[in-house]
Amino acid sequence: MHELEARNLQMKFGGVTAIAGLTLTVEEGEIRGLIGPNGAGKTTFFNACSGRYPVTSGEIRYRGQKISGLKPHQIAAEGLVRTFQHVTLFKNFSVLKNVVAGNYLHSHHSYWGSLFRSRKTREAEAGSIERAREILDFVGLSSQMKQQASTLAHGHQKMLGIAIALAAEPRMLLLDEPCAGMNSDESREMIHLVRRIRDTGITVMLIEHDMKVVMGLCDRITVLNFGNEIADGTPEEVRANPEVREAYLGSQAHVA
Amino acid sequence: MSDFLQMGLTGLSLGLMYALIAIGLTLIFGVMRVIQYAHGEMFMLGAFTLYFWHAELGLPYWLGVAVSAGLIFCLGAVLQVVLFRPLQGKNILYSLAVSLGLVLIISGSGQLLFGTTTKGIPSAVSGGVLISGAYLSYERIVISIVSIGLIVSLWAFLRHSVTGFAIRAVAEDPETAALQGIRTDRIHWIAFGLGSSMAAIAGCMMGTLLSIVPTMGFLATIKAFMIVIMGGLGSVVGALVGGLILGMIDSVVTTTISGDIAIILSFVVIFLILVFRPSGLFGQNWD
Amino acid sequence: MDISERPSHIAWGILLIVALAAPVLVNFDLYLIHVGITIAFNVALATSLWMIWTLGVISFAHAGFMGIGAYASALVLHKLGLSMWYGIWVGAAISGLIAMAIAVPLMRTRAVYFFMASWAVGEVIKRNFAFFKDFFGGWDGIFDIKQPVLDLGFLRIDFADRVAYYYLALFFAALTIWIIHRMNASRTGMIWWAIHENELLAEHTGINIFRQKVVCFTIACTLVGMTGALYAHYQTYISPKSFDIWKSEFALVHLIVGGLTSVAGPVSGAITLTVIDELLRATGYFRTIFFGVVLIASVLLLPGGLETVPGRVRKLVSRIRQK
Repeated sequence: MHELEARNLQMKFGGVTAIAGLTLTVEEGEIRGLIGPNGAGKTTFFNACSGRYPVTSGEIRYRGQKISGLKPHQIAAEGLVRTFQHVTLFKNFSVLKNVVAGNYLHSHHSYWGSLFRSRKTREAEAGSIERAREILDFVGLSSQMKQQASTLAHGHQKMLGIAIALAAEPRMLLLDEPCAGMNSDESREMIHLVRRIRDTGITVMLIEHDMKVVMGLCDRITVLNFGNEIADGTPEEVRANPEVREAYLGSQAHVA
Repeated sequence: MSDFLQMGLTGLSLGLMYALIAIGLTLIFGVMRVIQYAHGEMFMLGAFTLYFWHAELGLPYWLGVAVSAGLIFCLGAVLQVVLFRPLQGKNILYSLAVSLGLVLIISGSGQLLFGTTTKGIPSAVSGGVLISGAYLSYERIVISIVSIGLIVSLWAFLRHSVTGFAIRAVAEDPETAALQGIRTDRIHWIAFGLGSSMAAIAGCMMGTLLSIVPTMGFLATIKAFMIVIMGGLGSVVGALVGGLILGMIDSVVTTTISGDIAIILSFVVIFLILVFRPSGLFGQNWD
Repeated sequence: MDISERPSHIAWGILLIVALAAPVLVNFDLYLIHVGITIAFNVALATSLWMIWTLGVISFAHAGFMGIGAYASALVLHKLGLSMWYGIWVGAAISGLIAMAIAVPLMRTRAVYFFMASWAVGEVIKRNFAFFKDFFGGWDGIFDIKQPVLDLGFLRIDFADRVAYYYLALFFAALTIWIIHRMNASRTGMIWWAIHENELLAEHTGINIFRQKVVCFTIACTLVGMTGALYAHYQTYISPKSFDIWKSEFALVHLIVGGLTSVAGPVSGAITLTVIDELLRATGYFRTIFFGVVLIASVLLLPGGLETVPGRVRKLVSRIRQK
């Protein structure tokens, strides 16, 4: 059983075909890279996997379970969680509260419990806060716990996005350009973080443009162009692939 | 045949009046994304300005219409700058509250100044023509022609003039428009003034063809929103088509079917449109 | 919201004491007690509107649901002979069920469209009362909606007595505030504010947005329905006109002027504006005009509403101290 599997996935929006018949599999414990020029369909693939947009045809399975057609909150409950390319946070919440909110799926919630502050509810709340602190520690944002999310530096805001995703206790994480807008120090921190995430047993698939990050981090890489897969293999195989070079740089260029 | 012609002309003039108010509202909403709850009050003020000018002061009719339009244009522009601009970008609730306050102030003042009895504005043109048994008043014909002319000029203005183009640009994408060097602040009060003056002219029509009362603003606002929702928020064509259709329906239906049921049905239709096709007939999605 | 707003227990305590002592303080003046009852109703309406707002959605259908509760209770009395003690629960249940049914299509709309759709809902409800003449009494309305009597054997209270009704209304308003405050201060409130803050993210962390919106709307409209029942038995007469758009508008205005971030907002807004409105009665025909001026002035001059006043006063005091 594959961790994530897409079969003949097609995503059409109006007259535009963003993904044209994609088949790929991701195995448990991998760090998988998804690269390709702009408009290749990478984020659309994540959108399809997370349920944000309906699938035009084909299917997506997570751990054998069909998820294409489910809503985002249902897919998250299955253990497949994604982050977003642009900073997506609860801006007016504190850093801690952001992560506590992310822990929704694993914290008992009932309306009566809320109304009467039952013991179960109080314990659940305490549990969520504890877990949130652990996660913030893990990603390295503990010192900013009480700050309002909107006041964080860009790099830390992206870290927070990942922390929120981790709070949902995923088995697989889809990271959409985690290093976007980061300098080389921050990127290095991010690479360490992704490795540590994988070490806890979470499968990771990431979209990235920074080739150093991709080549250094990923076990395997899938390359998309114009909604189709044009290459799939280890970083060395992909780097040597002429079609990949042409897609990125045009046929006349050489890659050193 | 004669009934047909007569109803046709009545429906047309009523429809054009509705269209004018709706076009005004859709212009304001399309450009500023503001719920102008007091739009109907502009309609009322326009009517009463003409009433005061022509019926009370006895000054020339068509000049009065121009004065009414001009005055309400200025009022709209001033209101936009003083009341709505400070709230731009903030919660839509605040501009709603402000326009609600305006409704109270304007409607209340109107009642104080003009009382609560209905009034009429004497016509500028009298007489009519008899065509196959139907009496078509010159007044209705002239007013219809003038309104059509106005709508066409507005359309031409939006399509072909620099300011019109700027208005459409701001309505479509305010950020890009600003980046292109369009002074969105200026466009805002122009659009607000323009939209309000359209309502004012419709008010003049109302006063001449039917009757007016200071509390008429509220119903006008409701009708305008209904038309704009059906035609599509921000679409001038939608407002025109919607206004004409509603005008035709109103001049025929309210005499034949019970008023209450017609209104219930129209609100249910509005609800269904908002749920299933919020962009209306011609509009775009304002998400 | 994370803006630190620890409900000032002292302030609420004082408010409660004043409210309890009010009839005595005004020397049992019937008119002022009437104002007190009106304040209680307005507080309940504005606060329940706020509850829906915490999700990021503003409803314009409040008047309609108030009407449902009112008519339900009135009809329970007239057709079944049961007092308000039964009527209020029937009103609550029917309001809740209709709210749930309407919420299903209503929650599919977004932002501005939701507002207008809810307005349409309110209008349809009101006009149904007018249209079905035989059942609802048409535009003439229903008369003789008697107040209930509480007969516990050792204690008998006739709520036709205005002071008694005042305490009933006060109790209900306090209960409403408590329920809504508890929901907001709990995990449920955090979920709803999260949806308000960023619906996309909330959905992707596993929150079922649709379900939350339906539940919140249903709870709020149930409370509104109960308010309607209390209103009907107090006024003893209701007609479709009692539930027109102005009721929804006033609830909205109370909320906006009072403030949107905590329970203190709608409560202070409703109390203040109801009092101002009553004071303006003295100006006769200028009443609506002045109310409009007050409304615009508070939005423009006091951004954030009345609930920001304590903060502003504190800042002012500290600035004076520094001098």
